Amino acid sequence: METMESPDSILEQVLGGNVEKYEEIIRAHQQDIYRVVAIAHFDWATARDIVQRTFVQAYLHLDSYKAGTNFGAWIKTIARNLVREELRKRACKQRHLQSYRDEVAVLFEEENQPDASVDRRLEALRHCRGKLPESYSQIVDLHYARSQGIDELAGATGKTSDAVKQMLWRARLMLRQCINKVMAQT
Amino acid sequence: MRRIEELTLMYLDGALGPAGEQELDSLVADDAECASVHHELLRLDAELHGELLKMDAAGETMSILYGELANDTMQRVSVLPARKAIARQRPARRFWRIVRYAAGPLAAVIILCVGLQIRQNRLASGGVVVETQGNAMAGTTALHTGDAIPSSRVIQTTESSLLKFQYKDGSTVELGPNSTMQMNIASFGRNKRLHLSAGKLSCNIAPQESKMTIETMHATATVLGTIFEIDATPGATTLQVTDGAVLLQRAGAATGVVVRTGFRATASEETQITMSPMEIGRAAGPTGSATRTALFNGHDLEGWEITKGSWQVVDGTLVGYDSRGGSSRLESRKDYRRFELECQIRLDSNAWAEFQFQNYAQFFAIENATPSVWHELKVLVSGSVCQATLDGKALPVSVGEAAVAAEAGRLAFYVTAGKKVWIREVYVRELE
Repeated sequence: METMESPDSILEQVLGGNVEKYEEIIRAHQQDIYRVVAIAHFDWATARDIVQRTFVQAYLHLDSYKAGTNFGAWIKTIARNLVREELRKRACKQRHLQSYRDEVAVLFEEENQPDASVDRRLEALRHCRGKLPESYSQIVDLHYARSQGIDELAGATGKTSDAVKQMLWRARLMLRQCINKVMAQT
Repeated sequence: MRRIEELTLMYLDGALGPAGEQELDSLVADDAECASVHHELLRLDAELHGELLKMDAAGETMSILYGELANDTMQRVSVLPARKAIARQRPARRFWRIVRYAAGPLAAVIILCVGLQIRQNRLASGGVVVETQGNAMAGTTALHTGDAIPSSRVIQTTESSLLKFQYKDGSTVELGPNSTMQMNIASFGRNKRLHLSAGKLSCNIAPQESKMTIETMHATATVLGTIFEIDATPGATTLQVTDGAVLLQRAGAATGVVVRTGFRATASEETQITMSPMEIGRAAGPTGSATRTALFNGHDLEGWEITKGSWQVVDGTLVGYDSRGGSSRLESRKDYRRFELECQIRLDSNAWAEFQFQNYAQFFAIENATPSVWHELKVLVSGSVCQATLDGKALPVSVGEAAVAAEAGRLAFYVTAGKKVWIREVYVRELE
């Protein structure tokens, strides 16, 4: 039976000079890193660029990672620092978005240690998505997983654009309410 | 629904005009509760993106990393291989202790083997002509099928000739027209060495026990794996890797860039090595290794299976449209793993169409297509590389609905409910 290599064993090989093995590390952590970066509401190209830079930076400083500690948490710190750096570089003309990003910058301050709260929110999101009516859930999945706009969603589901818009709005409001409820209980 | 919720959701859907944006700015600035609702909805939207939109940045990140390492001449990471060296010290000491005791018998065995080994090495690192077109010359002697490639002699092709030779391990190399090269056959070590002075080499190299190198005036390519093309012009050397990985070093440089599947790299005397994704449609490989075949015969649906809706052949064109208002999908009966596909595609207005592969584990959405106009779709799927272009513009790859990602799987065209898609001139080239 094939056995899975532990992250530290893969990292050991990378540290030993097997650069190609690093691709396995990227594959294992890229979605987690994207989750961190996505919170800042950058456009897709910027978010992707920060994800890539996170892994390059992590490789170049790999000798400072302590084996046996939490690699996922270590690399997320690099991602958060890059997000904060990007937020500092760009002032947003839309005041409402700037106000949100200011809050993200505070959230990403290292001393706040946001991992635990982010993980709880992720669990809550998954739980609440599971409770959405199927038709709402389908619209949400198509919209976010495939970046389909309202008109495309209407074409894909055979519904009118207005109906799709309303469903997507309601789904997001239901999710927000549900997540707040779950977070208040934990 | 509260006004702040409505404005935020409109903003998220890209439907908020300047007046709405101003109203939203004011509400968020003046009312802490509105700001809190706004932030919560933005955060939810970001979390849904993070959870559902699949990030696949591994291949590209590795290329950036290799570029970074090459530019940095490995200095910053030179500490990393140090541990490897330490780990190797102990086995090395044990080896020398054994050698000290067994030196006599070992020397006798070595002397006996050396003669045989030199012969084996020369066979392994030398090549035999398997195909010629026109006049391919070694110095002043014409080369024919079955001839061994002579060592250190100038091999030349003319404008209308080419030469294909094969190594003992099955690796093949094709010297294109108007090209000049030399083969250096090794007596010690099994390294294959070629020097390309001008022109083009297309190589399909089997996994190597020892490294194979190809030198040009600008760079040295060290072959780590299989299918690639190297083109030496007076100004620059360009390498395109269809499958595997090749280390490319500028002439005289100690370090280089690993060029991986789907990437091309250019080296010249003046500039650093530059790397970019390979142009789709260039994965030619050596003669016969990647033949383009028509996937649609223009008459009927031979080789295809309708798995959804309705598909017909009309005037030499595949037409997908379900008059009952459902979606339509047409799948190839054959599975493909590494391939290039080219076709022409035309869409109804507002139609959502996809090219799906690996049994719908992944797909390319045909985005930004002008309705009722023929577009050129090109797709390259090879290992970790998935690229597609529509009229030369890149299309994003998305994760499909297959339960388990399959390396090989059917190809499919899909169009949404009640919409029409036209497809013609479908060609596929398998890369193995």
